[in-house]
Amino acid sequence: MLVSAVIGISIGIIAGLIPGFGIFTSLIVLYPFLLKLDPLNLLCLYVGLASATQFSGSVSAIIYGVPGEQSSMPAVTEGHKLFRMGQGDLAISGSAIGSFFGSFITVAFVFALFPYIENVMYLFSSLAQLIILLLVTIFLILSGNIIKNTLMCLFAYFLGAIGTHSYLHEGTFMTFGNADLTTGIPMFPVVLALFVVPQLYQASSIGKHTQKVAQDSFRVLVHFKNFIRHWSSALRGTVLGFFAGMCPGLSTTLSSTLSYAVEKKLEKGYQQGSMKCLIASETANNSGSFSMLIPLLIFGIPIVPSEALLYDINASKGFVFGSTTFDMTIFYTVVFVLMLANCVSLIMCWPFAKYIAHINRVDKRLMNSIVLLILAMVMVYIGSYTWQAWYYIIVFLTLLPFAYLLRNQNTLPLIFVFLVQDRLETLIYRMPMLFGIN
Amino acid sequence: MNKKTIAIAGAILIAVVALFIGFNKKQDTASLNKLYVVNTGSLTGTFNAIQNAYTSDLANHFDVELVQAKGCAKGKAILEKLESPAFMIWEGYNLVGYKSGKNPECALDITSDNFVRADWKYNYIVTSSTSGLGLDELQNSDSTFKFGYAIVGPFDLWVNELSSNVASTLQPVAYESSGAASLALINGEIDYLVVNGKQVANFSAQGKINKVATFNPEGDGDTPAIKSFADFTGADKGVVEFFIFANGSASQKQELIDALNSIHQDQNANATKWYNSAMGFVNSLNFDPDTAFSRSMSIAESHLQ
Repeated sequence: MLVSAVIGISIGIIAGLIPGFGIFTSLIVLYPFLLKLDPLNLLCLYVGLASATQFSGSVSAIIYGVPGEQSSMPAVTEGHKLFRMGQGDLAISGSAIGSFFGSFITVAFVFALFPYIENVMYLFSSLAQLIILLLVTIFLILSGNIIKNTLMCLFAYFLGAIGTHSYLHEGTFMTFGNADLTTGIPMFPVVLALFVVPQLYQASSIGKHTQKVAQDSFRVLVHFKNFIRHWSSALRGTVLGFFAGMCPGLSTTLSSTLSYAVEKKLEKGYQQGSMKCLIASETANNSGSFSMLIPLLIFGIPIVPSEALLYDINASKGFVFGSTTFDMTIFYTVVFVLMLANCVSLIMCWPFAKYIAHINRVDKRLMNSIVLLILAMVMVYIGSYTWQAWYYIIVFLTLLPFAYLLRNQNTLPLIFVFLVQDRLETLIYRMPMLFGIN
Repeated sequence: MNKKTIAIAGAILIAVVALFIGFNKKQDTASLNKLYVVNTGSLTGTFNAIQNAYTSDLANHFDVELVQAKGCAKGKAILEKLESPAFMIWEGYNLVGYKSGKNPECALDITSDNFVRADWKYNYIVTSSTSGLGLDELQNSDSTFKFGYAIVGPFDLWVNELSSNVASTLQPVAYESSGAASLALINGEIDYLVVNGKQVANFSAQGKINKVATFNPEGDGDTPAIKSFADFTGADKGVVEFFIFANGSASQKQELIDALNSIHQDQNANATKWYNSAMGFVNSLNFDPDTAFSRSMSIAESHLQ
């Protein structure tokens, strides 16, 4: 089990650093190997991978301004700014300690709630999901210029709506008979053009920053003091991330964005580069990466694609997750791997943080060029996987003028609405059916 | 960014594009070597499970690559662009939608040339074990019930037909996958659900759901046939899921069928294990090709009437 967990953690760390790769793609790549593992080892590998991905996704978000995972979007907004301000080491250690703290609290939370854990699922009806999504969107809109944020959200909804109707599976919007457009606007070029490019622009416009903190403050105590100053944000992130993590289809993305939006609203005199917002969102996605397992382990219901794959592989071996197979051995195993993954991440962050100052010395233009070039290649690769490389490039180029217009904006509300548009539309369409309105 | 950096970035990008496009060029070989397996279902649903199982089994016969299309429109678009042989799962209701002119984005005709095999599914109507609902309430109650389904296409028409054959009023509610629909049933969001035998086997074992009726005209043990209390076209036909082959020759298609036959005879194959743990699935490979094709089309077309 330990070997499987370590393999999962190692792959998770790498997967989190590669934008767009994520947990599901990692499992697809590992598929032949996964078939050889018994159910418990497979679960260990999965938990290690899912947890480590959340952490390393934050590292690439903080250092390069590139979201390794969808749940790392807030880390790009806040963490990369902190990095550019010379506080990258504190940002990384804050995220790591927060993740560690969040996981411990989450485990305690699950123990306390165990007799009632089944009831938690009732919170995730379609209506509850719709309310949560709308609340997060409203929080994001209110967290900045309301008019600009509203316009960005409307634009994102419009972009997400292009293609085949996500609920009815019939009828199209703005496709003009083009086969590629019927498949919708792909996620990667949108994130690259409308999130990463403005973030890199904003980061490069920050003046020559001080390296003082990064060079002189490499002391464990400094890092812990930094976290302790923001413990209340971490606690809020843990609680919100825990519940949001169980939201079908969104899970850790909702965990981190919801906590981020709430923290941003609570912080007086908020300015981009907020340690509170970073720690809250990073704690939340780790808390969510644990709670998202609950529906799978207890009910046998996978709520994210990677869990569905795990479920199917185990089912093919005659092991079906659910109340008939769930026991405390599984629970303690999950807790153990989760803690191990967090310990490894925590230990890794210190040596890594030590070299932040050196990375920071690299010419910003050169670093941005390299990051953009790598991302462009990843985009072409992902596009070519479904024979849409040119389509991805055209979408990216078409969105670049918008990226220029939005170069000084925090485009997180836009990206969040774009990512959840399918789900939002599905839930909106389902409501009249559930309430008998024809 | 300076001009030199942009020039280098542009050159590398063009080289990478050319490389990837070159990789995807057609293989003009007589025998089937490279095979793309295209999943047109959601990532959390039954289609994905079946195609994943097939991908791992077919890897023993061909160079296989699984492509997640996430929907029939993208599946069809991929099939049109793809120049290499492909094996794709196709919901029978897509064919119903296409033939009734409702869904041109998923307009893909199933013919004996591209037909490989089909699953004839006798789905079940189920309720949550805590709801206190059953067949009596469905048949005789004057109440309105929320009736969930996870079948793409115009399956609401089927629910409406059932509704007009029982005393209760059924309000169709669509879900994106069988997993999402099962969750909705368990958390009380819907009252009844039409779902495939795989989900039924799983949740029955956990005591979460009760079977109410089956599409199987013979019934299933204590579970009555829908046909026994609601007599309409489609009540006893079940639903069909097609598996098609595209961009290859007839001999390559036969190679694929031979491989599938050997997979289904191997009790250790992932696909065999998957089907063995499900209920109500009938594999058309057990019938001769003409019967398999005509019966599959008959099931799909029965829902058009």
